[in-house]
Amino acid sequence: MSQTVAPLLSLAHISLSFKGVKAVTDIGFDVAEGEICALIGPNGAGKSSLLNVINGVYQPQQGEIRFAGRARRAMQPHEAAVAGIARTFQNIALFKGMSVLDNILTGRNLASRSSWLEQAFRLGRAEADEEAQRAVAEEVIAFLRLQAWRHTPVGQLPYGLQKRVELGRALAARPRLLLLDEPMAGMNREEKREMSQFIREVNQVFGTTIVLIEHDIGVVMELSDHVVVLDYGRKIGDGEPAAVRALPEVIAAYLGQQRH
Amino acid sequence: MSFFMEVLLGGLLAGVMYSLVAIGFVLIYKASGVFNFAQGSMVLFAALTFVSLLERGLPFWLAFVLSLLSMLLLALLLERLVLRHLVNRPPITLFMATLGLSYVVEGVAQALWALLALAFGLLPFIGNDYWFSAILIPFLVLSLAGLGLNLLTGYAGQLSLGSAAFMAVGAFASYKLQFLLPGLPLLLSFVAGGVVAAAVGVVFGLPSLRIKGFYLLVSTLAAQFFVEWLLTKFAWFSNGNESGVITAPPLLVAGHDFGSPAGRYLLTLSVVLPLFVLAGNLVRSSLGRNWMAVRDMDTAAAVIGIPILRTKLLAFAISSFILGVAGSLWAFTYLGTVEPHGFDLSRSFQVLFIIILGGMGSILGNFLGAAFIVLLPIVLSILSGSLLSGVLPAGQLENLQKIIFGVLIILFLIKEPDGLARLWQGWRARARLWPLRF
Ligand SMILES: Nc1ncnc2c1ncn2[C@@H]1O[C@H](COP(=O)(O)OP(=O)(O)O)[C@@H](O)[C@H]1O
Ligand SMILES: [Mg+2]
Repeated sequence: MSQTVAPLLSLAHISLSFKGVKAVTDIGFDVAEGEICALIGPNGAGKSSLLNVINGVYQPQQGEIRFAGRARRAMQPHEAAVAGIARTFQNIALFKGMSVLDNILTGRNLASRSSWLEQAFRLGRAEADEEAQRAVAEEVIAFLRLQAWRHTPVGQLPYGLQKRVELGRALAARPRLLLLDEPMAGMNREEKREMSQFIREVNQVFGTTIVLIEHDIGVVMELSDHVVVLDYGRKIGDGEPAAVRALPEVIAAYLGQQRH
Repeated sequence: MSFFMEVLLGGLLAGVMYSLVAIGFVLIYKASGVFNFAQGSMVLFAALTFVSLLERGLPFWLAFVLSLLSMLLLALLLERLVLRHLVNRPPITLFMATLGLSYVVEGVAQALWALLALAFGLLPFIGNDYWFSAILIPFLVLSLAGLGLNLLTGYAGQLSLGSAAFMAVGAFASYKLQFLLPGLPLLLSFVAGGVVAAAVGVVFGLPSLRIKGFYLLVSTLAAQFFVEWLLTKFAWFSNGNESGVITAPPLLVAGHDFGSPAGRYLLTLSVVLPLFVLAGNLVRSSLGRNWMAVRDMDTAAAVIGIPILRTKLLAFAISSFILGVAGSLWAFTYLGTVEPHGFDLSRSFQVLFIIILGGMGSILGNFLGAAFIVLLPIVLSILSGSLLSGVLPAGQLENLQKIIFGVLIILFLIKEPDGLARLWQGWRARARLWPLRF
């Protein structure tokens, strides 16, 4: 990745604690436009907390977040969504009572231009607007091969498919930056392969920048352009996959005790 | 000269009608490539409906609107039952189908209009006054109240025990506005009552931004007691009546008196049905999806950019608007005279039972739940009058009713949390499948 252009996302001196318990300490790194950046580290290292800081679920006590040229002390969730950041969660956060299609359509809510009064009376822009959102949702459904479950309530789907629907909801927003928190956790080998393929395609076809958390070091090495290693809330490695893998601190702290 | 004028006018009128029919033809042809041979019989159908309605004493404009509505219904039915199954068939098939349709529509036009106009046209004339006053009108109004609460609780996931308070605000606001603004059309005063209720709903919905679940119940409970107290305490709201009793003004719409039981039924129906259609549209729109998203997981909803505050407050506003209109109807077209205690906590519970029994997050469920609530006491009293006469002391009837409600609520919450609507869907799915089992 070229270093001359400004990075899409840049974190500086981020510190976050919960009632005095430090989750993230003085972390900074850059994510270039178009790259796949993997966040790795043992459980409790602060990876999820960091994603939550990036899209405003948590507000750090210190630091600065610069996204797409705009610097902020902290993000707000709505602000982050408007700026073009979408994400999935470690523990699936789908809308359980809604169908696959409706879940994916919620990802389009910011693109909806018609007012609720127009929607109630089906007047003005409402019809065309709804059509447009449905068209995008159908593209996402086709891309993720979810056609067969379009009208199934997501609560009834198996775990692997739910993960895919959650990715779909994030993709429906056509984000600039996609944050994926353990998208392959709990999946079998086949499902992992499929999910990696989807992630790579999203990155290559739509040019979406991706930050993902993943434990499977093989997948990380294969998928990512850039790896950031966390341990006890601190950054202990940052660079190209091969270089990071060779760092002694990393071998000691993470690769030495990786999950099986 | 006068003969010439007569012929000219007659000719022009006929021409206008032919061109309207022709426009219909062209519209269908251009849009779908189908040459609709059933057009003529549909014209006949419309005319028959219109004349039949007029003959039964409906005012001209009402009959006109109802005929249009029945045509719309007919067209939707045809699309559903016939045309949908012919999608992607060759044009010649479609053409023949419309030919067949023309025979069917023409042949049964007489019988069919009666079926289609059942709700609007027929019931008022075959039903007796008891049906309207004691069953149909409260059924419709309670369905509407159920709809109001269902949007808030079933769709947006915000618990409320203040339904009756918002109904009361609607009723008293409609009533008061009739006096403050003499000449305010009746239907407009219903809408205005709803708007005032919406404003009050938003105020009591504000705590929902910070608190959830059972704590929110407390806030809506506060609304319930506060509104009841306010309306009883200050006679201003009831134009000086010491005990807060209000009496409905004459039910005039465009000069036509809807004071008879059948008229009150029609008036209620023509307010309730459009609101159901609008609410149905809403829950399928992006606002409806945002409501369900906030209900199912509000953190995730915020992360995908749904404005939580606005979404919740809109749920309170729209829900309270509908409850407010339901309250106005309750006072004006159902009871005629009402006091604040008519909108007490037990009324709120009644509305809650409707959506628990009918189904949270279901539009149809409101009708099912309301039908149940209205019919159960009647069925029970008939039963106790015949079967159980002598066995059951008269005073015990109310207790029996309470027990049955209580047991049903618990049974539903355990066994069928999605309510009667889900049972109905399951039954329908099975009914659709049954011929295939053989
Ligand atoms: N909402 C929270 N409240 C309190 N502590 C939290 C919260 N979220 C995370 N933590 C703490 O922050 C630390 C980092 O957690 P997390 O970011 O989930 O780690 P990872 O995703 O790397 O496994 C842990 O010690 C965890 O207990
Ligand atoms: Mg985590």
